[in-house]
Amino acid sequence: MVQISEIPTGPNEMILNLGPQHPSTHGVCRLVLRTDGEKVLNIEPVIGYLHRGIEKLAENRTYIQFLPLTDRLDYVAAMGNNMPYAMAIEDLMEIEVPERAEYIRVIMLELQRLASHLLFVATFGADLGAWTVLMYGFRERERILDLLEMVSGGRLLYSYIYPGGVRYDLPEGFVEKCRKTLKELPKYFEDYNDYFYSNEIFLKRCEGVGVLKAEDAINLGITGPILRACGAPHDLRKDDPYSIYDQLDFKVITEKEGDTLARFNVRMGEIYESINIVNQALDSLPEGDFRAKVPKVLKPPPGAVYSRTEAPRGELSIYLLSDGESKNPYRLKIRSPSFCNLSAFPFFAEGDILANVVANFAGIDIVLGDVDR
Amino acid sequence: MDRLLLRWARRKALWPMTFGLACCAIEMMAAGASRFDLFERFGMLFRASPRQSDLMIVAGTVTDKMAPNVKRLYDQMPEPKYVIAMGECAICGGPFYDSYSVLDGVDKIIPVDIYVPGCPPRPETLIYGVLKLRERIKNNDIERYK
Amino acid sequence: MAEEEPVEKPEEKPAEKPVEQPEEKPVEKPVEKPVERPVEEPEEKIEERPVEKPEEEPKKERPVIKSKVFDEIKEALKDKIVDSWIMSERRPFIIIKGEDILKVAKTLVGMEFDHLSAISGVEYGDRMECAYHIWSYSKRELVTVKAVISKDNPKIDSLTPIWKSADWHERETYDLMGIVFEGHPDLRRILLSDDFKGHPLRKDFELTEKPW
Repeated sequence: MVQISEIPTGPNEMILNLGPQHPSTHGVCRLVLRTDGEKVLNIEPVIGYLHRGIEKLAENRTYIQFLPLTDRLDYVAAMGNNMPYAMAIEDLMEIEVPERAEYIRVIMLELQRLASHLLFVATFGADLGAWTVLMYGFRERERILDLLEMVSGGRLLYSYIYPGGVRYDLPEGFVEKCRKTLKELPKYFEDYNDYFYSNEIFLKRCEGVGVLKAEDAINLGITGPILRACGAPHDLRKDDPYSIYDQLDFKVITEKEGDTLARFNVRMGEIYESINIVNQALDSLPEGDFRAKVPKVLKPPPGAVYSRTEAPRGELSIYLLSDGESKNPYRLKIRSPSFCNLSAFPFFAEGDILANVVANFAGIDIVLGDVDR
Repeated sequence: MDRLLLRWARRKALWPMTFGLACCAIEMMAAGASRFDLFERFGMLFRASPRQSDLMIVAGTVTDKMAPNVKRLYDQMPEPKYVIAMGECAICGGPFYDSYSVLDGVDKIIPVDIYVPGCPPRPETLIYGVLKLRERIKNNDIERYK
Repeated sequence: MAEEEPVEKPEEKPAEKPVEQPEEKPVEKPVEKPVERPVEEPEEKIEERPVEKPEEEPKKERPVIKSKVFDEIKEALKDKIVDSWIMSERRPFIIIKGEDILKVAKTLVGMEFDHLSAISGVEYGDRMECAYHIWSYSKRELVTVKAVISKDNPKIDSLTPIWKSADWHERETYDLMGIVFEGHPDLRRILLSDDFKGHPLRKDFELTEKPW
């Protein structure tokens, strides 16, 4: 990572600023590019325009008061952010989560993964110039958000997964509506084949762009669909299973090439796998409690725990330290996937032409709330 | 009479420069997408450049690092211009009110006409906010342009 | 809205469980469980604590995943470790002094620990610690290495030559905590603006509510 303002600029070179406000839909990320004509020599991401100080706020809020703040991290896939926090508190306090609650959690997490990947498809198309795909992606996503709204009351941010279980039980009619929606969804995905795979412009813009090898990716700290697109079949749901993922049967989608098209294919494949997982979980949903009994004021005993989950964008982990006396966490550190993926972005995006920088940036699928926290 | 005509033209064709910063930006995009269809129905065309727009929807948290850029973008917009503050973070700092790097309320740097509450506000709420703005323009209610 | 709900929530929950609940499990648990007292007299507590927690106690119905590499790591690093224990069945913690971090990291890379997950800085009453969480894909084990450094002049070696992912993590730790990483190619503020004064995550940095 170099600071571009310190490199002396040659006679034909130009420093271009893809400023914090730009028509792409990812948020306030600033990219400083040093270009020689059309070719980009150096990229430097400048972040911090959305830094809200969530880790410091954790020390001023009680454990339950902090839960809605974790929603605002990766705001596109909000259920996935509550999960490592709830798991960390349960690990510290040794609470056992009832089985029905675990199944409900897995259903919600996989539905959220579906919704997040649909948003990726919509914004990926929009960044490459296909505005129809934006509308269609949001239309499918609205169906999933209807299901999540039925359960928790919110469309975008839920605070549904609580330490000890989930917040409310599934309402009546949820299981039937869920099955019906998931049966109708794959029909719409067949249309996507026309927009993407038989579209020559899309294929030319994505093939061979931003190639990354698996060993480099692991050393750079990349996780999630980008790593799986490079040929390394690593998925935290299989490697380090949490919740009831070890009792469900699903494949880890891997591609070999490591370019933007492979990342897109991995996410499309994961959409189908998520539908599969939700159907399995709905089939074996047991009866019982939806939440374990936890005390009104959470005061975990002193200790430290590092809980890891697989968010739609990569590995999301929380390192929670508590000293047994106060009602607030002592230290909370959030390891977010987009931060690490963005730090590795210059390694495979430099040396290419300017238009490919945009395609690459859309392909790594970052969310600025996660990067800046 | 010509004032009436001017106000009619201004409110029927507001072109927003969507300044989506955080979570509220996703709800704004959802409001403009297939189900709610905010932009096309009301004559609003989403423009990326501040020089060609006359409505600024500030959606999301404004931090101290971003605040000078917000002010600069507001200054670049041509008159007459209107501002909608969407979401709790833009109104008063939101859930991050006591953070060290969050500006509490965008109305500390630019004048705001309509406040749309919610965290995040539903797309229907944003549509209601835009309709309220049109009503305010019609009634000649905005102080700066009387 | 999101702020008011959690405050009302404790009144709506059902009757609170008596505190004895965790102690109904085998009695030796609370005694041998290593305690982390961040604020008061930590040095004496380190010697009192036993080194290892008994691993053969399944407390849940799900199978307990024991850590296989814990003994290998202790063997490889035996002269550098100040203290070590296992927390919650499968996460070994190792405490070392700050000066040894580069050698420890090279040993761990040799044992196929290839993914540096996170670097976090923690401030206690009298010292600072830098925690490195490292995961091995081939062995499927995670180890946490905590390096103790002094509070007045917090300096530690940078791990960028070994794992390239340490780059931005160290910049963030410098920005928010003030720990200086020697040997880092480009140590400057990343999340806050360049003219920000102070390091926010330190305990003496108070959050103030801004006046209306």
